Amino acid sequence: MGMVSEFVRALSVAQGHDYNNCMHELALAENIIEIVTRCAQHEGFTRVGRVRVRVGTLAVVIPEALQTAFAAAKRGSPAETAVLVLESEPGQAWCRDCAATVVMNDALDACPCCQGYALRITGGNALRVIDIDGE
Amino acid sequence: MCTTCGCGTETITLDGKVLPLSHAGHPYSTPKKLTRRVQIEQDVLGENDAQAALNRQRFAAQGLLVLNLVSSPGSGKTTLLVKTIERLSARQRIGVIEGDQQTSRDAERIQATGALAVQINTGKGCHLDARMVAGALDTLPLDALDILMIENVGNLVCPAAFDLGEACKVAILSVTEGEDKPLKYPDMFRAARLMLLNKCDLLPHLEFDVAQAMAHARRVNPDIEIMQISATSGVGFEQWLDWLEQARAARRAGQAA
Repeated sequence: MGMVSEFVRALSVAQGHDYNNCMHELALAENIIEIVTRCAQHEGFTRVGRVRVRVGTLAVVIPEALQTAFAAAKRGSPAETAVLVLESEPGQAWCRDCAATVVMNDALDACPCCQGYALRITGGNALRVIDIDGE
Repeated sequence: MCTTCGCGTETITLDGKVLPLSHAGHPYSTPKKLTRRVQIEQDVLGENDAQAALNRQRFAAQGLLVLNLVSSPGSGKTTLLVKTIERLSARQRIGVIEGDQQTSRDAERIQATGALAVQINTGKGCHLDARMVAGALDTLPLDALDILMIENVGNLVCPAAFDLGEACKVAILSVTEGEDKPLKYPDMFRAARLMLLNKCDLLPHLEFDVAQAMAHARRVNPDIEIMQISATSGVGFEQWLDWLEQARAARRAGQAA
């Protein structure tokens, strides 16, 4: 698993955090490469360009870690030339006390209306490949 | 081929003499490569979720209750499982899938109780995924089980993102950790249906604030059920075993329906 240790090293250099226990971003990056490769083969692309991925602000993902993981995972793959562009999607929750949909951009946010925590996340927690440019 | 005049790039000779290429009045032009954009709109975890759905179908067909046990390393998951099996094995047939980066020590501890256990080693991986669990299922006689416990890799971050097909996640927080763990790792405590506050027999020796820990868990997950237990002393264990048997009965009823 040379790629994993390379990724962890890159992360520990890039970030001030301890990511030794957190590298599911690598698994996510590998999934993105798989989706891109399948699409490139289907479309007959010889070169992949921009890959847009929507990241909900409540998704269990650190965008910087995903970028670093993607750079490690794409090497030697058909998606080697891909450039990952992350687009943020605002988080959304249903407040039971207000009986309303409210904005929630951090997992610890209170309801902006009642300041309570009776919140159920209803959006902005996904990670989706939007589109792929190729030629 | 030049897309303007139609001539090629080959050297043209006349009686052995090279003729100059004559793109008179225009530069040699190649067909422009066209960049296309393909809409995908595909979940990055889509494949895991699809496999988890297959696992879930398999569990439903058997009426099997499957729990995904998540916690930090050292919260007492394996001891909890051993004690649960010892107390419940007369009434429920329990199987265990153990997830660790290395060693089969946990599976061996479970097997020592007489229960069926398989060990998944993830190597450097920090979580179990639905495909690994599907592989383990093939080695277990599911029709000879009532409850399947999946002990995830000790990690409060990554396992929150990976559905394994379980009925629900059970988060274990031991009182030797901080009361603020649910706030530090909100995704996991939000994903769990039940939180077991373990090692409660140690409370007299600690400054752990139980009410605050419970308030923190409910702040990130207002619906979470909480039980105070100790796998070692057996405190609160009846409540946990009742919960398990009720959940199992509900699964069986769902299968019959």
